[in-house]
Amino acid sequence: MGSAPASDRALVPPGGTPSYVADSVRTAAKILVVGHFAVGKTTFVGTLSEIRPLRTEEPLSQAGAHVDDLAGVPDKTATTVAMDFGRLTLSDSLVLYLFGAPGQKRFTRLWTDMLQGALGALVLADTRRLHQSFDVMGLLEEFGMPYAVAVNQFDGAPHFPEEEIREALDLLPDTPLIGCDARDTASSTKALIALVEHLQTRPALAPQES
Amino acid sequence: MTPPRKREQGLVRAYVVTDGRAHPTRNTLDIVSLVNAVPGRSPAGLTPERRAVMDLCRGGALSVAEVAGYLALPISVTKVLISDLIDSGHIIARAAIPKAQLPDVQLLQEVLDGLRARL
Amino acid sequence: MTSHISGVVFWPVAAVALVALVMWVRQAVAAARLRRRLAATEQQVRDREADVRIREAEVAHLVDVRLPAVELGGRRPQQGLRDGRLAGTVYADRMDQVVSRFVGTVEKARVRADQSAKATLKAAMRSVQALANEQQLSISDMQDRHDSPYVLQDLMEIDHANSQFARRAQAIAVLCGSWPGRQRAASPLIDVLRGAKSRIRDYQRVEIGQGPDVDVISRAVEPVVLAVAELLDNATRHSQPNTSVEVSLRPAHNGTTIVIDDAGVGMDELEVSVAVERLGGGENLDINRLGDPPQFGFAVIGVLAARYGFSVSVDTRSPYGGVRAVLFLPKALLVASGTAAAPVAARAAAHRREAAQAELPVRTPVRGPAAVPAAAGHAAAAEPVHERAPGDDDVPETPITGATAGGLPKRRRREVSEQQFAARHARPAEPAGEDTGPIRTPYETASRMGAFARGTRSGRAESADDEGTTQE
Repeated sequence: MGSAPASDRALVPPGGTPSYVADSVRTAAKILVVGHFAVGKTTFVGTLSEIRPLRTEEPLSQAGAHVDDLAGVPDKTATTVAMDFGRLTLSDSLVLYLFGAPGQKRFTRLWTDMLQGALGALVLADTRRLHQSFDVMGLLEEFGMPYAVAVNQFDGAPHFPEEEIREALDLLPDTPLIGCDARDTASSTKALIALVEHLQTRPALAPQES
Repeated sequence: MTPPRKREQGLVRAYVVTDGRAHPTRNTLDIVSLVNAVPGRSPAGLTPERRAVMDLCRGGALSVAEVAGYLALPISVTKVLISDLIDSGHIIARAAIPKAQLPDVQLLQEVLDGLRARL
Repeated sequence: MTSHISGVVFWPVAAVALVALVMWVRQAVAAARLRRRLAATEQQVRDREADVRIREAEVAHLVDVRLPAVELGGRRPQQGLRDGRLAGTVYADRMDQVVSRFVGTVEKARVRADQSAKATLKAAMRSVQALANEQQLSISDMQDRHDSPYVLQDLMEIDHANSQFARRAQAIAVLCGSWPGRQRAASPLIDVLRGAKSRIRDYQRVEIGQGPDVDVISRAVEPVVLAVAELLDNATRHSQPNTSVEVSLRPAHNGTTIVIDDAGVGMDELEVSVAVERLGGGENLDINRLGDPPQFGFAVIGVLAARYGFSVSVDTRSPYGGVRAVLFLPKALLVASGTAAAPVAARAAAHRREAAQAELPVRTPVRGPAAVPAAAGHAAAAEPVHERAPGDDDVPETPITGATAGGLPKRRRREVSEQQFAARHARPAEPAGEDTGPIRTPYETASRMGAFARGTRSGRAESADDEGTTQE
């Protein structure tokens, strides 16, 4: 099958030495953290993760850089991130992975793969740009993926009563709506707890394919 | 582990890495499936990326997503490689959460307990 | 008395006669001289006429033979005088002056045309290369984003087509005097070969063997990739589809040799001589002489080899019957693995360090505001800029149905029936061994390239095999 191996040299991961999952861990669960651009997904995942932010993307290096006579040609200077993810060891036998997923409609295809086996989703919202969360919530509803909404409290953003945000987002009465500060570990953890508590009480509508 | 080494991205394209295959030989791998190198298995004869997966997974278990992240390979490509390595007996996968099944009450409780313990 | 008289008559008559005789003789002599002069003049005239004919013939020869020979090409031997009798004359000198002025003019015109053609092509290829590179980045991004074998399958095909497309543009640009166009970090030789493999159509037939553990220096990575790709392309193109092309690496005392063997029909003497000439052509290449359709593979390799200091030969026969191409990389282009001191590698290392500093190493759960990055006034400040994908400012599609009292936009929850839900979750059947592999017709692949292909498809159709059919 294809080319034979070539070099005896090991290829060392560009990300450096990994932090391994404990041997006793038997189960890995995943939760999606979704929201529009700049809503704080990366911050949220980074705040909770025990591993450093590890993206499925290489920082843009000279790889794509053009030299000499290609200078002046329009060039992409930044590549897009696939997703960020983080890991939380919850017990001797359980790790939780958080995946930050972009909320744009055009990423639907990506979602269908990531949603497989996910416990649920946490929607991060920003009251200054609430309408930008609408698509992502609609997608989750279409996929039947249970979710909770966490309003990331940005400094200087206006405060709205919970009832008003619920009305704007047209949330079901049992859908949790929490305020959180994505930079704060306790606050972010509480948002996840609210989501999982909601998952526990959810009626048994199977979210997966039959 | 040897010091990190920059690998030129974009030089060797994905279809050469997998020899043109996009579908893993098994579809049981999830991004959070945990994988380990089988102790004592030599990576001799493996392509550079497969060898890298082996080297990475020799130290302990990592999720497929982490392997992809460390090797800067797309997750879908990583799944093809890991599937091959499972087939050839180089890598073993620990069970991820079962697909097509409601997360069970016990799992949710464990997650909740774990999160609460962090507060 | 009579005698006296006769004596009186005799002497004058004799005198007259003598005079007449003298006169006659002089006349005869003059006439003879005149005749001689006339004859000489006639001869001269004849000679002149002959001379004029010779010169006319020489002019005709100049117009019909010597000048056309100059026009037709430098490699043809210069034609001399037609008639050796003119050799060394002023006239011959003048003729030669005409020829050399004409040679000069033709050469100037040729250089101008070549430069102008090269400049035009170079500019065109520059933008094509930029587009291909941009598309390659987009493809890589998409591969990173999507965790689906179906998407990967399609992306691989597009990527494969794009890589070949980029290689062509790159080759033409190099022939026109451009640099190969991409600066890369020093890379393991094995990856350089696999990079070359990535750029040809029949990459699956290429088998790369074990080799020494060396890196190719930054500056030489792209040129060597391109040269090897052209050799591999040639090898796969001119051998049976069911045969493999073997690449083996042999360390030498002053470098490393890359040997590429195919099991094709090989090249005949003429093809070999053309190949040798192109490989040795270096920079002095006339792109107008590459034939129609142009065959530039060996010419590109020749330019790259001359410019970067490696050598290539194709004049030995492979043990499998086909061509054996040998590319020798001197030590100057290699570096022990991992010790690359090239500027790009250094920059990459610096980049890595920065990245390492920017990212907290393995973070244990941090608590409290102390852990918050000081600069992060807004949580959003930490959101990486590069998350912004092209078109990320997509206008949300969900309609805003009104506003709350406080001015928040309102939406309507999406209710999904169970049937819709089931339909939505019906995934395509899993492959179950129907792995059809990446083989598609060029047209299918091209059509998958969408917008990119649109502009080039007609061109591709016209030159489906633009490398010609002779071994090149």
